[in-house]
Amino acid sequence: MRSPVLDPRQFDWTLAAFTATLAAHLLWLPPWFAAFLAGLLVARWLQRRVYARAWPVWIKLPLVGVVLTLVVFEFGNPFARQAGTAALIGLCTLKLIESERRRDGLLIMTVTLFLVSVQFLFNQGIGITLYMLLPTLLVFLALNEIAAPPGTRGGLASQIGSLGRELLLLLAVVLPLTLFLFVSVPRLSEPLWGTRENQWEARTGLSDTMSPGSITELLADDTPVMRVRFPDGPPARSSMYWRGPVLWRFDGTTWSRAYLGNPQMREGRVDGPQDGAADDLRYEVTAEPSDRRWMLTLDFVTGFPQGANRSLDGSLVRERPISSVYRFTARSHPDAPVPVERFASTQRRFGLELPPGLNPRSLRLAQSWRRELGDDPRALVERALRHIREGGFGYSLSPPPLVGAHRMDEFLFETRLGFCEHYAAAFVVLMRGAGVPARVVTGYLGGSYNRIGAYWVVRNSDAHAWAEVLVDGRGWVRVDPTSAIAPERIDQSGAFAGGDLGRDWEWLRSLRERVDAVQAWWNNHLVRFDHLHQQDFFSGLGIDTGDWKQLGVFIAGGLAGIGLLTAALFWLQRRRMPGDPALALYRQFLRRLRRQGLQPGASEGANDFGRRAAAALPALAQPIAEVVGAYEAARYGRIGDAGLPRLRTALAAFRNASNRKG
Amino acid sequence: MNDVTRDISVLLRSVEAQLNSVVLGKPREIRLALVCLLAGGHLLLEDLPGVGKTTLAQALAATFDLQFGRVQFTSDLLPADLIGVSIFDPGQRRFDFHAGPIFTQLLLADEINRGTPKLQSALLEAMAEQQVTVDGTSHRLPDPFVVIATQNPLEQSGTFPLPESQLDRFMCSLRLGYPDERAEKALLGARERRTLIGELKPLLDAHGLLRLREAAQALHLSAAGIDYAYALIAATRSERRVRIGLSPRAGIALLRAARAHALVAGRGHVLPEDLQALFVAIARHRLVLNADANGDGGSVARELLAQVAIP
Repeated sequence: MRSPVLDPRQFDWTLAAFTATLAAHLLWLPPWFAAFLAGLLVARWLQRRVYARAWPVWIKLPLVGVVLTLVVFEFGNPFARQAGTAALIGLCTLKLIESERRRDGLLIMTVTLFLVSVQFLFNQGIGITLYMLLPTLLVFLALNEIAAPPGTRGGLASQIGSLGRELLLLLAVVLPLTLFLFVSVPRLSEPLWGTRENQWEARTGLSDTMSPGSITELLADDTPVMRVRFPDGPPARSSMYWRGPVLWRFDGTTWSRAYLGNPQMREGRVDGPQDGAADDLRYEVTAEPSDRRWMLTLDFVTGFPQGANRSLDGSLVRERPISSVYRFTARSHPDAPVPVERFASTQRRFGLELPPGLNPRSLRLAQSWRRELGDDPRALVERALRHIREGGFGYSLSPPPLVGAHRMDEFLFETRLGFCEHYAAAFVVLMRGAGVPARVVTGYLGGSYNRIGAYWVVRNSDAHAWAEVLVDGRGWVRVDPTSAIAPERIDQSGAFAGGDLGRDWEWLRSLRERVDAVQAWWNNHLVRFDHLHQQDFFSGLGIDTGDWKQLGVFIAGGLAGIGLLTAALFWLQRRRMPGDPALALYRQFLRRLRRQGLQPGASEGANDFGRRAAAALPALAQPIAEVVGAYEAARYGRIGDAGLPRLRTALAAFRNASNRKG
Repeated sequence: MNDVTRDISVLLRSVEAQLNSVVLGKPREIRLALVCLLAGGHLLLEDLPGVGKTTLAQALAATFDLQFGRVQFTSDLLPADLIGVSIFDPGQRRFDFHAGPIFTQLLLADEINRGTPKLQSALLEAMAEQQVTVDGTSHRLPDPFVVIATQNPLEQSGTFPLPESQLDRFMCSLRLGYPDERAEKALLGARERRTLIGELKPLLDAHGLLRLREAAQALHLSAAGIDYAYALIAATRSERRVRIGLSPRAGIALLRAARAHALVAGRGHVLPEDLQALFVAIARHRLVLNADANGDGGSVARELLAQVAIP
């Protein structure tokens, strides 16, 4: 038998639920792919309204090819998270195009529910989590609509009403189970996904190169990078330099890393865990997923956890990319220079390297200082900072573009307008020209204090670049040339980067702090409930997670308890439902007959059913007639509940008779 | 079941048997017509000419010994032709009311949809009020007063379809349809129906009918029965194909008729089966479907009946 036709209202619900789910995936789906799918859905919707016939195969079949080709073309490996999900979404869209029957609707809704949960592989923020309630509700409404027989469907309000009651009951059953599983199912210390894909483009954030404009992009982006708590009080704002990648090499346009800082290079790197000195500044970082490996810490980091290592150039790098919210504790020795522990000559050589033949005017200027001041790095640094301070330079986030081959010359002698990235780069070029080893450090500066949650938020808009020069006997000393031109950029976080809204906007600022505090709570308590938290939780209960037997007993016990609770709930529900003792007794009678394969139709009355049952079981005709008569008298007759004893007697007689027969 | 209900049941069984001997092969429809009569309602027969509508009406009148009148509705029939008219009597120097054919206990209004709206509403007003008003004077109609109206289902020229509000005055509507093969052969082989009707003995009289009506309305209807009746009515209101569902008046009619049905079945209380037996007859002519819905009130009512569970 073919499944019944999906009527327009059922189709519309199905489409609405799927579209709402698709909308959630827009956060990561490439826009053109999403637009393509949306176009298909709109076409399908219009076609259902206007033209009753199904789409012909010669359109549908090539579409499958097109969708799969697009997915492979965009994502490459079709078995990875993004490609797999995109393919599923695409195929589900196509399924919607050929869905004409209720069975198809049920299938699509089931897959959509799966897509709702898959969404959490991409985004686990509090906003999107709340939003996901909408598609979930829509899926249930659509399922309700598809499953309900035609006569029993009311308007939207009654739909939600009837579904609401059922959902509450199901939630009462499912929530304890979900919470229990959330807490107790053993967590992997790392998610299984999130390592295979090319994620360097997936999120904005620090990159490991710096070319003109790469930081401006960040400055306009307000998303939090991490949140930091200082249990023993924060350091001065002017020393909150969150260290990211160190850039050594300059090709005239782009700065990039050198193998010296490569975390794969075992020599010279320091592996975690490290305790650091007891009097070093302690802080706790909750990093947002960045799909990068940089663990942003203050200089100079001395204490860091397992799985992290400090590279030779002083940055902290994680073994795996940070693909979900990651929390760690670190210690730093504030403002200490980065020591030159190994490869001193290589570091020196790299710190002096300049692209040959470029920026001659800058180099001439630097060499003139060198001739004037000798080889004292401090004096040279002072001279360069003075040059920046007094040379007519200005701070601007939208400087004129540098286009020629000699970009540093152009900046230092012509445009003289720029921001941290220009100043850091120009400063390092000048230092190198003057014979002082120098390098660019990128990262974040400062952060804003959240008064509600008592923590600091560092946002992408706090991105910054500064310089380090090598001073013999001390190591790499931080110099921030931007502070020479715009000291307020250093003192007030994000003063130019859209972060600070001014005093008039105090309420908005406070709202922002509130929202961010909620977000932080969400991250710390729900998203980042990892194996460590789980361990804490279990050891609080006196259970050793290392002991599988104990854990197994706990999980099995918990599941059994929840099972009993659920069973009790259903039992109560079932007991409560009849509300009518005669009906309850009659249901016992029906259960008994069901074993004989006899079941009343939805609208079959006791009288009709009794006659049918008697015809099917002639041996029991008499007791059946008696039960039916007594039930009708008790439930519908004037005698009412006073007829119950007769019904009980009749039921007992029926049982006896059927036992004898059986 | 007490003795009274048993006696009534025996009596009604013989009434049914007598009716079935005249109208062949239609026991269900006969029972519904009888139920309608016992519930104090008016009956609408929708069918093609020649399937025994008149015979049924006449047989009912003969069996209950009711005064029988018949009016053939046409487009030129005036309300006065039906109700009666006041005529000035020069001798007495006053107006005398000359009662029309409506003053009868059982009125067969044939082809009611051929009458003009004015005529239809005069009849329907009389059905609702059980009285007619001519020149400011009200005249009570006899008791019992039962109208059995027939209407042709086909949209024929020169018909005025009855508005929904007036259809609601009929408690039940029935379709007789063709008899089955055996019944029709028997019908063809038997004597003239008219002769048969002339030979029917009255088993009851008008007074007896009124007593039976009282007895029916005294039957017990439990809360569970009301729950089921409500579920059925509510289902017509939420059904998508239906534009106008059943009104509370229809619900009252359903329960009245169900009581009468229980009486005919010889029971002291109403069962869901009683409601089921009547639901289609009550709902068919009252349900107004959406323009694009397939089927008619009867088929929708049957589907709802199969879907709505007995609470």
